[in-house]
Amino acid sequence: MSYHVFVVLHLIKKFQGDRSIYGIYHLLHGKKSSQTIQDSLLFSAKAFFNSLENLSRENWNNLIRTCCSKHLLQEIKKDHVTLTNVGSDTYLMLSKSYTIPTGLELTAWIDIETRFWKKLKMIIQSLSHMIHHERYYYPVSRQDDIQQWTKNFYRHLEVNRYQLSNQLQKEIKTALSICSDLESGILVYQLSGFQVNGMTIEQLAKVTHLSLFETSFLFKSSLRKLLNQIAAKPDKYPILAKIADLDRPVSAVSLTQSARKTLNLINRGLTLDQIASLRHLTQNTIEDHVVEIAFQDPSFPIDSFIDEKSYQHIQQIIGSLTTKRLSVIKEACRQDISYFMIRLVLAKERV
Amino acid sequence: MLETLLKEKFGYSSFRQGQKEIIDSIIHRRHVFAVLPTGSGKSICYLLPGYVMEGLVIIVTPLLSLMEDQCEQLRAHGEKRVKALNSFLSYQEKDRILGQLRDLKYLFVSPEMLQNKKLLNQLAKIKLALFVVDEAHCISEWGHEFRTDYLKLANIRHTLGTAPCLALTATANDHVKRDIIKQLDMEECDQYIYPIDRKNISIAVKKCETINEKIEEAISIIKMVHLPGILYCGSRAWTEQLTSIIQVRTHYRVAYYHGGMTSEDRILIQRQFIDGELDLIVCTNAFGMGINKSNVRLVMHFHYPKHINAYVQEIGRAGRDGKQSLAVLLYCPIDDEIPKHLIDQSYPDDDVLARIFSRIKYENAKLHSDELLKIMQEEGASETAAHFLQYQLVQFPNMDLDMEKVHNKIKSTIHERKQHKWRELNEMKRWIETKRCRREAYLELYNEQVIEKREPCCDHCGLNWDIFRKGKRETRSLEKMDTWEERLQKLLNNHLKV
Repeated sequence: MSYHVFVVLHLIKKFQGDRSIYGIYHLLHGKKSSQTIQDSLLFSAKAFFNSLENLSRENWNNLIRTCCSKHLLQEIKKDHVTLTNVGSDTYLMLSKSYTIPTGLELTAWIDIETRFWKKLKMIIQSLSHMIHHERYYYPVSRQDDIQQWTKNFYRHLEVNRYQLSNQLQKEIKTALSICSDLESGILVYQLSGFQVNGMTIEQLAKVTHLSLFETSFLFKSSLRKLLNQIAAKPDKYPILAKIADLDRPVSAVSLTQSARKTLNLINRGLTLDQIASLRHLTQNTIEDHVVEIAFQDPSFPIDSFIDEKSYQHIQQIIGSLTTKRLSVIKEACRQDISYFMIRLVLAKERV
Repeated sequence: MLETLLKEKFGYSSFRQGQKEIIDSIIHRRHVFAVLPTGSGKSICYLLPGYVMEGLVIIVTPLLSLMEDQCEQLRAHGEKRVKALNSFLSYQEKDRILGQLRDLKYLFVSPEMLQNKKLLNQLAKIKLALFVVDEAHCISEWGHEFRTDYLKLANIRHTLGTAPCLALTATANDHVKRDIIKQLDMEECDQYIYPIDRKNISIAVKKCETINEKIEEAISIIKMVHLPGILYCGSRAWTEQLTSIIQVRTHYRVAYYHGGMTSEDRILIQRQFIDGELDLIVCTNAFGMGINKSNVRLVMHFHYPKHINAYVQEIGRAGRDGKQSLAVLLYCPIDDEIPKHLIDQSYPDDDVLARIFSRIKYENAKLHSDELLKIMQEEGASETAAHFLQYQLVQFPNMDLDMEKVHNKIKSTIHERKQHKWRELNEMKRWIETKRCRREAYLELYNEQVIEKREPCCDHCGLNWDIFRKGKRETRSLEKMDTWEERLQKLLNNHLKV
């Protein structure tokens, strides 16, 4: 429980009540939306993106409520909370005994980490069965594209299965050597294969006597370290590099799929109005996309959405305020300034 | 000749009860309604005809996990021409499968997926061998409220041509049977109904005063009788809570299972249970369908199901190997609140309904739109209730002509459905309260009689618990865990190689 409290306080402290608890939940849960991705950068909380994939909204809610009832947090408005004095003290105390695993900060590849992990699990499971001459097994991932990918993986290999499994084993051992035994164990014990069933994160939390959050973090920490190793020395890890598929240009701007579509239409010269009606989306959604694009791509021109004067005006207001809360900024701005404009400026300025 | 095929494709040397007759009817292009007891190899009934008849076999399946299981089982038998289509697949994945339809032999789909225009267009172009509705009781159980696409199956079947239809279930009383046949529009069908009595399962009900007492009872039974076991609960939260209590109080390997977990975690837990790495699984009714584990010794209910059909299905997961097994239902008065609540929130109440109608009128909302669902939920309808209502409304495309009439009509439909659910619930409750032989009492609801009584039958016929008592159990010493390097070796070194 107290590790959970530590994490909650840590995050709430970062966000200072500027985002709702559900905004923070989306971040932890790894929701790929413009807002979440921007928030993770704005509040330098990127390490936590996708760090608790299994967290349910309900559990998160309960956790926040518990902290409120213990007077560690206070609600400043609906679904927005900040630390109380007791909360700050508690946080300081907890920080002495708890830490956030270091590997969590290695966020260069978080866009592909989930997919990499699914592919790795499938490769190990299939390989393990192949070297034991067992053709049939229940795949750990039922995702069709992952299964298809696995099939293709074997199609383009020159080495035989025994060489492959030896090599893969060696690579994983080497790559994981920079992790603690605990981290490596949490990663490896989730893998399934011939006559071996993997364990769930929750089961691993039980056997390691750690909290669920810490176990999840340690797993993500080891996974991110692993990916970073592979990216740093792909020649040293040929098989893992092939599984990770880092070569494929993950475009520098990692847009959500929907935003990418909007961008294509903007580039073709359509107005936001037209795009909204063409895509059967609301104007609001399209504006979200524009903000996302502006945030991800500094070279994206925004002069068709906001004039120079308004930009400077908003810039000034933001500079004079300490908060990033939109409603407060809006209040301080000229009447004719819209939320959309403010968010565009925030995105451009990357504050 | 069918026997040869059975041996060749599935490795069985003879048919089990009912299979051959059913297959024979299908091959002769007759519609079939069949009730086969759990664990009797229902799937052979549609898989085998696939090898005899030309064209695609479509199998409509209610649960995603079940669909995937069936698919994987078939692949594990070496059949590659099989795919599962459901709404959780990405757009690209669906598209890929649609492109392959011609090369497939078996296609598992959800009823919702069969509403997809693109799929229907593709299906119209190819020959259909057989239209199967597996777990067909779901039509009756879920079709009227929250899986309303189940009620559209007959229409779809007709648009796809004249392939025979096979409706399969493990439990259906007279009412459910008639409902299935009606909804699938297969009045002219061959019916094969086999006894549902499972003689090797002894049945007991234990009454408790409080929840705490019930928890104690559950733990003492788990400690006393043979496992592996399944413990059914009424909610996700309860599965998690009970699991941690049992973990603290016993040494058994316990895990929970419910629909709120990720698909990957569900697969792991399911495999662990099937491979004997868990002694007890604590679950909601999401667990069970399509799971083949023959040596389950105990099925316990911590909350009772909404109707006796579900109960019979669930206890049927015990003792598929024919060995003596035990079904225990724990009851305490407060349990009655859960099903009551569930039934109530499945339908909009009168006030909510009136508010929804007036908003439809003023806002002129389109019947098929998500907007309508949103309006309903804003006015206080649950998600289930909203889907139910939307389906009902779509039945009246010209409703603006006489809104009043439609309103009243739907009101009375709700009334009827609620009455029906209450009747089912009361039937379940009467069974719990009965003083007679429990086996006789539930079989009677299926117009079935106990042919030969076998000891030990049920708590009312006299149940000697000693039969189920496990011997002095060697206390499990905590297994030493491998280091991660050793574990990796186990996975990637061939330890059988000489």
